[in-house]
Amino acid sequence: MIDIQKLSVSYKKQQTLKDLTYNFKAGQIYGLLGPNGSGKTTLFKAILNLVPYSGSVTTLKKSTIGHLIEYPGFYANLTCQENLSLHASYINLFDLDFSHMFNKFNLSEEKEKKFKNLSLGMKQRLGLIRAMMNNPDIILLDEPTNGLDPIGIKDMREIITREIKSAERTAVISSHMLHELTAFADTLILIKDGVLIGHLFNSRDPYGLVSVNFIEKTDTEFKKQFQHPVNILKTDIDFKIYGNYEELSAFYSNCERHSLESLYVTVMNLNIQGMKLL
Amino acid sequence: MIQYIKNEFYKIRHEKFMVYITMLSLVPFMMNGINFYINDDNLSLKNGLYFRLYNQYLMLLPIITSVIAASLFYMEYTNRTLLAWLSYDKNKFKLFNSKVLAFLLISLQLMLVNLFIIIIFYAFNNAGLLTLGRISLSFISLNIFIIVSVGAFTLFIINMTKNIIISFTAGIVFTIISMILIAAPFSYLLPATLGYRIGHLLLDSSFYYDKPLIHTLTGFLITVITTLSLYFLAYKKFKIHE
Repeated sequence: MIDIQKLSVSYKKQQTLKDLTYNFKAGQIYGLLGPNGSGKTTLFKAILNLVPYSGSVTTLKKSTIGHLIEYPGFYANLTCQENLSLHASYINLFDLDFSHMFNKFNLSEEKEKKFKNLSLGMKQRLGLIRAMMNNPDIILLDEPTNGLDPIGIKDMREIITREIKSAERTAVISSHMLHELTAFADTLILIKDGVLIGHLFNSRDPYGLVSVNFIEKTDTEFKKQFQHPVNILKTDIDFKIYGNYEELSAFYSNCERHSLESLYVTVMNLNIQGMKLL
Repeated sequence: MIQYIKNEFYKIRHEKFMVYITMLSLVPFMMNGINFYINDDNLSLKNGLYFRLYNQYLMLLPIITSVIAASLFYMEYTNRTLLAWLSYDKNKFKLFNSKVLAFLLISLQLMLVNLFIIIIFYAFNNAGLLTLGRISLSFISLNIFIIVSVGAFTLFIINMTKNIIISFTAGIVFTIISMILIAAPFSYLLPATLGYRIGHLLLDSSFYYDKPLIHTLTGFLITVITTLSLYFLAYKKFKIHE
């Protein structure tokens, strides 16, 4: 669905994406995981052809892309309904009835409110309606729960799970929080400093395999560091950590005990460590 | 393209700046209209009501023009809609031009509203067709030169700085410079003052440049080159930053 070959993006002599190659398949949900500034948003912008790049980004002919990138930008003095009508006209959809979409995304009471009077959670949901309006073949969501309070995050998770996970489309959702993405993603893609450093397949089968690629460290050192009974296999080029969800979750918890305070930071730290190993 | 331009008008339907700008553009006529009835009923094009109006429009038009041009682009920056908006069409130039055309249409609309009021006022006070023609041509000349040159200048400033205050200030500075150099023998080098002097020629033929043809053509050439350069530079600066 999206074929990316040797994609590089530079800004002010600094490379924000470096030779990135990946093939996003149809019907899959991908989680794009990496710390802030790793190149996640730039990758989305390149897919949308909004930044100059070298390499190639190919999508199927006539495939439609919905997106919510950086911030749900709408015109502050227009109402939700007016903002959506405006968006619809740009993509050649006229006389649409948005009522069912407002219902679906819990925004029925806000449709006549001006955008500037919405909470951030409502703004994000309006952004999702816009992204989903034409039932796109590809959907790109950039940190959709960023800045939301716990209730907003819960709402957003439910909506994403309900509206995107069930559909037959390619979705790429970015976050710097691993636990956010494991709830949605079939595949996790790890990115750091503009380099795609590995991916993790999430089979959703409780006995299925999950693998993370780590390279250039002895298995003994690695086991010593994390002290956990997940299966770690050393191959010629990397380590693979195998486990089901529970095992992996315990693995993460163990990581937490060994390093930082919160699971989120620890998991990121794990990834960053893994990335450093590369 | 037509749909894109319509959308630009849709975006500003609740924007208060349009109301303020329309009212501001009518201030010279309202002030001079009142003055006409209570103080001075001189309707001469050379030194009467229209002459004063004409000079006041020279002061106001660059400000009005810069506010319209800057606001249309700034709304994309301040609402953070630029990214979504640019993703609607692979042809960024088309989207850019839809805004530029919307700006021109709004400016021309304001020009026609003001011109219509002035024409009606003079016609109501028994002005002949020749007088009405001279008013129309001089007013259009002043407006076109200022809209085009100040517009291109503001497009460049707003897309380079993304800052509305700097853009408005640039409009005010443009006004001040135009007023200072209005009577200078080299004022044909500046598009706004050239427009003023061409329009003024229709009001008072005794006041123009030493070498009318050469100076006018030189001024035209400079106007076209600077306007096109600023327009393309503005387009170059019109992009999403990393």
